[in-house]
Parts: sequence; structure tokens; C-alpha cells
Amino acid sequence: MDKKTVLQVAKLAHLECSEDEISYYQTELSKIVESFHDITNFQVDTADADNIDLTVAKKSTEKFWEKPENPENSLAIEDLLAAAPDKEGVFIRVPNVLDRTT
Amino acid sequence: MIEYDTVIGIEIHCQLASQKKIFCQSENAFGNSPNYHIDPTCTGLPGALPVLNPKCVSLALRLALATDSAIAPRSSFDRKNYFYPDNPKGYQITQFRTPFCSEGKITLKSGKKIRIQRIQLEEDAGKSIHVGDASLLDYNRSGVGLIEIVSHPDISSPEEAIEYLKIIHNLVVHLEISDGNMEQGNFRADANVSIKPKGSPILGNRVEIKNVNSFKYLEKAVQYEVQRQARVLSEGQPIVQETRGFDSDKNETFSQRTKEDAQDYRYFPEPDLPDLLISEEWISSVKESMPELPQIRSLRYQDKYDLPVYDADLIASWKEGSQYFDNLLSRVSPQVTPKIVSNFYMAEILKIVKISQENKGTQEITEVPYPLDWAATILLETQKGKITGRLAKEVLDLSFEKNQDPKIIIQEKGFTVLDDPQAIEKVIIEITLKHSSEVKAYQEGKEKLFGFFVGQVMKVTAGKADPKVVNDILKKVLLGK
Amino acid sequence: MNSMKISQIQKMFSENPDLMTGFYENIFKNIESQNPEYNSITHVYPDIVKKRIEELSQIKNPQDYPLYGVPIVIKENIQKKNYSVQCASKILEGYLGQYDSTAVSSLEKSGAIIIGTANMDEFAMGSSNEYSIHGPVHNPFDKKRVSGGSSGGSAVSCALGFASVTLGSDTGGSVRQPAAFCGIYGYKPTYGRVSRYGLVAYGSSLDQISPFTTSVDDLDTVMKVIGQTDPKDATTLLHNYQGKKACDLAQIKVGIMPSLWSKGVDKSIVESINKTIEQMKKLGVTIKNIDIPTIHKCISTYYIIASAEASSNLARFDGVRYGYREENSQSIQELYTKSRSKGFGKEVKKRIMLGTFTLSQGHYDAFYEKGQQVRNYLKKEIAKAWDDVDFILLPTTPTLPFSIGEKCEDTLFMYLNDLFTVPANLTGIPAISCPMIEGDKETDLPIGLQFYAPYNEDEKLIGFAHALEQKQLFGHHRSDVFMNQGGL
Repeated sequence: MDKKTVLQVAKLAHLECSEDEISYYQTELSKIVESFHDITNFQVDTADADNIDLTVAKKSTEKFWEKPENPENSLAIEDLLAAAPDKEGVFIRVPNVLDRTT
Repeated sequence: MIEYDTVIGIEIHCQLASQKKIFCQSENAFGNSPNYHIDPTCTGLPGALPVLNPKCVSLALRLALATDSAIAPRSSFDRKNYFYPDNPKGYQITQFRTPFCSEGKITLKSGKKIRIQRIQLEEDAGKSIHVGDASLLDYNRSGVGLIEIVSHPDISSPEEAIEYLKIIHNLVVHLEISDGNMEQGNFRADANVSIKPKGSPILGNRVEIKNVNSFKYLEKAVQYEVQRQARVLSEGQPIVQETRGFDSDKNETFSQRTKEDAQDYRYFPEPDLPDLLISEEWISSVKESMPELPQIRSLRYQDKYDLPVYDADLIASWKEGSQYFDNLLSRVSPQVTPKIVSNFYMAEILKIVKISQENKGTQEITEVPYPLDWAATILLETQKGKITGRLAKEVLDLSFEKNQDPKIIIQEKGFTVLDDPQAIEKVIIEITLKHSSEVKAYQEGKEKLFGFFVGQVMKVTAGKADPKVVNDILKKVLLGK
Repeated sequence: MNSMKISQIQKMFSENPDLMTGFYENIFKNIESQNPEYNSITHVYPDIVKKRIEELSQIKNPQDYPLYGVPIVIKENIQKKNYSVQCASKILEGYLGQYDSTAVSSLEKSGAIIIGTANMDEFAMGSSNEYSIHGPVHNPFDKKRVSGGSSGGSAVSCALGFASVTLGSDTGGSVRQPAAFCGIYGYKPTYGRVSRYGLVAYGSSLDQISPFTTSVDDLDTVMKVIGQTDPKDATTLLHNYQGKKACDLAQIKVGIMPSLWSKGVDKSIVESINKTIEQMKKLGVTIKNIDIPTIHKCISTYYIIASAEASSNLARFDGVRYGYREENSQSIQELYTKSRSKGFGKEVKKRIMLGTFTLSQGHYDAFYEKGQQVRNYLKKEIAKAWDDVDFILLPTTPTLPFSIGEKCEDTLFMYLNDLFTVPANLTGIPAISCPMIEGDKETDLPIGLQFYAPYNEDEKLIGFAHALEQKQLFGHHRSDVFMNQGGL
């Protein structure tokens, strides 16, 4: 796996890599992806390829679309903000997203 | 001088007016304090899961039916992965591979059909407010249900684009799918614009126009863009595939982001949601319970009430107005005929609506600003002959202006019709005495003078005289003597 | 002698709620003295438990609460309000639960007392509980060896008697494997049997909250409480777990695939399997050879799907709303990248990179889509096997518990460690690891064997395991050593 690919993937995943880490991923990911060859080369009979629902096909209850919605705001704002690393009043705060520094 | 064809596709994001958000249990509401309508799922807390709200599907099905779309009996959801602070899970749940319906169409006034490629269900993002060096996050809107409506690039002019938009907008409002308020952000439209040499089968590069929040500005933006592209091509330059916004001060589009920066969204099927199964029963249920479409309503007026097409279309086009009309008609029939009610509605009620809009300075008006009972009173009093048709208009205007029950106005102003034959005869005789030469001329054959006498009677009685009685007695008097 | 069963504890406290205070004081004392050696518990909440006991003492009809007063430990990736849900990661350091998961609510509605949280591999990614910010968990039988993972803390806490039942999560064997390494029962329900609402997601289509117990009766009791349909989890089954079904061993057919353990599996494990086969035959069970050729493709399929789903599930750990946020970030991009890079451990980052890669443009078809096709193929193959047999017997692990640090750098070994367990997660079928009463002859290390059952047949599988336990084929390994050690 080339360095460019590793960097592209890291960018998508929002992870930064030191030079050592880039080499590490190049080796490790290549090894793992190589081991996937039994999957990538698997020839699937198109008849077998159709998607089966993993869950048992649910026979839904009669006319579930007519049930009342009953909304519930189940997270109190205090509970949301208690975990927030930075907040301002009733908002969670982050650096201004419109500043494009990269 | 090369001539170009314009090719436009429109993408609409429209919020669904369900009580609950689409994949979680918190309320879908507007105007409350930030971070109030929230729950673990729409704030992306660890371990939270989405659950589909069937009401959102029912609302979306109304549009599918109204646009003759093919409804997929089975469709699924996908994750669209990207990082942005208003996207708390780090992905948006949408329908990328299998929209729940496709290949619908709407018809423009010209008869041209615009095809709708797909309508898909998805969720809205939260909101961020940018203040100084910070962005402040509010998740009230996160998870609100959306439909994305994507047209084929069948639209050939800015005018057609706006017509298409207005038709869709009208539909979603009429069918009560959405509040459709562009300023509040629950109806958003983007246009994909390209040009190609006239008749050429090869499409040009597309430019996406985004973040324009009124029909008027979008039309201007598209107009500008078409001209800009023609100019660029005539200079021998290529059209850059990009996203552009619209500057309403300069009346120009400007570049926002090139497609080269296009994100890799790594779509894959949403494992937390089973496939969406839409049964015939569900579809029938939606059909039965959905509000009446303007076209259907117009036909009903034509069939049931024998209204002419123009009248039927006009009344049917405004949902709240047509409900008012229906209610008014049921209140005053059978004494008052549908034709009279429709004339009254079109001439008088709509006039009041217009005045109200001007006074408020807005096109947004959600109900007829005149009490139904009062309108019924005026119609019934007129029909009973208690006031003349002419005075009825005056009563209405005064009643609206003063916000007063028309019965009171009729009484106070003494507008009650004068139909006492003796009183009228007295008035007529006085007039004939005053205008004896005209009487003579009439008796000698100048039949047109009849109108003159009627006018005089009306002048003297301040319009209150019952025209029928006047006619009868006047004839008698003029010919008798 | 065995440690107290849930039914005994429940009866004891229903009749005399005053006994709870002393009992729990004892448990916390034992945890305090012994946990440093094993490192299975990460947090205990004696003050909250005290209040809970007061609350429970007010109940007028405690006998109607099937888990009244029963102590539970939950893996620290399961949401409980105000309890640590750190997921053994720096990125969630200090993070306290913001709501209750459905499983926790169900347990508490039945009268259970959740005393604390268990150590695990970071974000459930690992099979030895060595990838934890809290340090490794030690095997009760040999502290130099691993407990297994990723639910190592829960396994050891149950084996040591710190709680009657502990909850872990099983995505590719993370409960069955440590159960085998610790000599207890570990049960992965049919996918959708137990609600995942509140379980921090790793592989969404594979995860199940899964219990550890020291007896099948206890397993049955806890499954009745947590094995319920849940409107908050759209992947749950429509029907609740109904309780173990009576099993006539003479009517049972068990499938085996001897080629699976002919190579690379420890001798003692092979001997245990053969011994169990003989014992079952004596009890009238019919043993049949079956074949599932695609089983060898399972590891790749599993890692493709699990890491892809994980890469998406872990995107929410971005430093914005909770957890670790890099200070003084100049931009939102920097905030994301630095928080995640510093907050996630090496193994987690690797899986995120792997998953992101396999989902990326140009690779989705070859990996994820292909992986799901192989998965479907496997489901069909296994479905055919049920035409011939009721259950499938196989080892839980290829080896005995290995030493801490021994295998941790070897990626491929760690993956192979999951070979026997991942097919159940891929196909959604229920699977149980049952402990041999006798361990390895030389080292006395525990050995666990595994049974698969058809999709949705949890009642039959637990019934079958119960029947075997009654006949002494399986049972809590060296329970005499651990009786009262933890407090039970």
C-alpha cells in the first residue's frame, strides 16, 4: 500500500500519522488486506448473492403507521452539556467552522 | 453567434412536518430554546440507535402519489459518512442506493412534463451559529425528517425552474407534508445548471447553485449563471464544475467550492435499520387520508357545483381559501347557489385577503381574515332581499374595516332594503314630476331612459330600493300615467 | 459446591432484605482486596448501591422481582447514567453515562443491583484484554496469563464471584472466548434477542450484549430479563426469550467438523472434545459429521465487515460533545484530528484505518460488498446444516489461555484466535461456551467448548446446555476455589 493511500485514508478518518505510523500502516494494512484475498476473489453465483435480511423477516403489527407518534425529548440539556468539553450558555462550542486554515 | 440550450436540474430538500423526528423520538418543532428537542440518538451519544418513524414515510408517500412516482415495495437506508459539527454521529442516514420512490413527474402550464428522478428519505443536520472565533452548536434540528427530491435535467429555462419549484412547493404545502417555509429553512432548493450548443446531445459541465433561499433570487441566480456560462465559453474557456452561491446585492453567482474537493462519503447500508417495506395497504391508507389536491378539488367544483374551469381552478388553488369556500357554501345553501357564493368569494373575499396581505406586508397568509359567520350573514341577507347586492359590498368593506358584525352595520347605517311599494311609489312619483320631459320622451319610445329613472330612484333612496319592486312600479307609473 | 445461584440469592433477600447491606459490604471488601491482582473491575459505586438497597427495601413484594438484590457488573461499554462508560479508552476518559441502556433498565426493573463496571479491550477490539488503558486483566487460574477479551473484565469478575452475572458484549467471540479462558458460561444470544440500545457500537450487525454466568439456570434467569424486544432498537426480534425448553438428549443430533480441530488446536482441547462426544453418545445423542466449507472464509469476512462498521461507528468520537478534546485547537479540523489521534489506542486506530480503506471509493465493491455476499453464502450453508442436526459442537478457542504479552504483537495470531467464534456473529445464530468441569491435566487451565444452534432457537440451546450440565458434562471450573472468594 503506498504512502499516498495511507495519507488519504488517514485524512478521511481524521487521524494524523507520524512518519513511523505511516510506515506501520503501510505494512500492517497491506498484510491484512492481502489476507482478504480469499474474499475479494470469491466467485459468487448471482443467485446466491441476493441480500438476506439478517433479522428474521418482521411481520409488523397491523397498521403501525397509524399509531400516534408520542414524541419525547428524552435528553435533558443539562445531561448533554455536562459531558461537553466546551460550552457557552445553552450551546456546545467549537472553533469557528468557517475559518478554513487547511 | 452560437446558440445554447440551457439544461437545469433541481434538487429540493424539504422538511417533513411530522411531530417526531425521522429516526428518533424527540419532537420536531421550531422556535424553542436551543438543545431542547433532543435525545441520545440525534445528539450522537455513544450507544444510541435510530428507529424509523412511519409517519415520515406516510407524509413522503403523499408526494409520491401526487407525482405518479413508482413506489418501491422494499427500500433501504445508507450511511453517508463525513465529519462536520452539525452532524453528531459522523454520518447522515439517507437513501443512496434505493430511494423509496422514483420516476415521478409533474406537468408545467405549457404541458411540458418534468420528470422526477427520485425522492429519498433522510435526516437533517443540526444548526451552527458562527460568533467570533467560535461556532455554537444547536441540535434541535438534528434528525428532523427530510425528503430530497431530485429532478431529471429536463428543465430548459430559469422560468421553468421557478414554475417547477412553485408546483412542488404548492404540493407539499397543500398535502400538509411540510410547512414549506423557505425563510425558516424547511424548504431548500439547489439548481444544477449547464449549457450546451443548441441541439447537441453532449451535456456541458454542471455548476451547482446552492444556499439561495427565495424563489426570486434563485431565478435571478440561474439567469445570471446561464449568461455567465455562455460568456465563459465564448471566451474559449471551459466551465469549471463547481458549487456557486448567489450574491443578491451584486446579482451574481460566485464560486464556493470546486467539485475536486468532492468528499468520499463511503456509503454503505445502514446496519441499524431493517429494510423499509411499503405495503399496498399502507399506500391505500395514505391515499384515503391525504388532503385533497388542488387539481382534484377543482374538478370537484366543476362537477358538483357546475363552476366554470377558471373559477374552479382559482378557488381550488389556495388551500385555506377553498376550505373557507366549502364551509361558506355549506352554511348558506340551498338558499344561496354555488355560483353566487363563488362570485362573492372571488370578487369580495379575495379582495379582502389582498388588502390584508398589503397591510401586513407579507405574502404569507394562512387563513381568510374575515369570519365565516359574517360572510354567511351577508350572503343570506342579500339572498333574502334584505339588502341589495350593491350594498352588500359596502357592508362587507365596512364590516372588515371596523371589524364589526355586518348585522350591526346594516342596522346602524339603515342599509335595510327599501321594498315597501307605497314608499317607492311615492319616490317614483316625485321623480316623474321633477323630470316630466324625460317621462314624455320615454312614453314616446325612448326606452333607454328607463335606466335613467332607475338611477334617480337609487340616488334618492341611497341605493336601498329593491330593484325588482322599483322596476315593477316604475313601469306601471311610466306607462300608466 | 457451587457459588450461590441467582434464585438462592433472590430468595434470601426477598425473605430478608436486611441481609443486603452486609452482603454488599462484603463484596466491596473482597473486590478491594483482590481486584488489584486481576484488574477486572474498573469502577465500583458503593454509595449508589447503598441508595439502591434502600430503594429496594421499600418494595412490598420482592419475591416478584426475579433479580431482587442480585449483584451485577457491566462491561464499561454499556450505558448506565452516571456510571463510567469509558470503553477502556483515553478518548472517553472521565466520561459518565448520560442515559440507561435498555438491558440495564430491564435488569434494574427486575430488582438487580449494578455494583460497578468491568475492564475490557478498548472499544471491544481485541481478544486478550491487553489493549486497555486500565492495563491487562489477569486470568484467575494463572495471573501471568490473559483473561481473554474483549470482555475479559466481565469474565473474571464472574469467575471470581464479584457478581452473580456479568454483562459483556460479543461481536466476534468477545464473551465466549474469555468464558472459556475463565471456566464459566458465556452466551451470545441470537442477533436481535437482546437490545443494543446503550451498547457502544463496534460492529453494528454483529454486536450483542452477552451474559457470563456460573450455571445454566442463572443464564436462563438473566436471559428472561434482558432477552426482550425493544422499540428503541429496530434490530431486535419481535418476541421475547421464553425460557429454556426441556430437552430429551436421546432425540438430539449434534454435528461436528473434526477437520476444524485436526490442526493448530491444543491437544487438551481436542481430548476434551472427544471426551464430550463420547459422553454425549452414552446419553443417547446422535453425532453426525457435517461440513461448512465457507467457515474458513469467516475471519476475513468478519474483519472486513466489523472494521468497516466500526470506522463509521467511531466517527462520533470527535472531541465535540463528550470525551477527550485536544486543547487549544485552532480549527475544527485540528480539533478532530488531534483529539482522535491522541485519544484512540493503536489497535483501534488500525481498525479505523482498515475500515475506512475498505469502504473508500474504488474499494467498497471488492471488500465490503463482497464480504456481505460471502456472509450470505455462509448463512445459506449453515441453514442447510440444520436439516441434519439440532446443534453443532466445536471448540471455543484453539488454545489454552496464553501469557500476557506473548501474542499481543502478532496480528495474525490474534485474528485466528476468533476462528471458532465469528461464524455465529456473521450468521446471527446463538452460541454458548460451556466450561469443562476438569481443566487441562497439566496446568488446570480452563477449557471451554462451544455449541451453535439455529437462528432464534435460544430456548432450545439453553435447554440443551442445561440438560448436559445436569449430567455433569459441563460446569463452573474449580468453583470450589472461588466460592466465597468474591463474596458470593
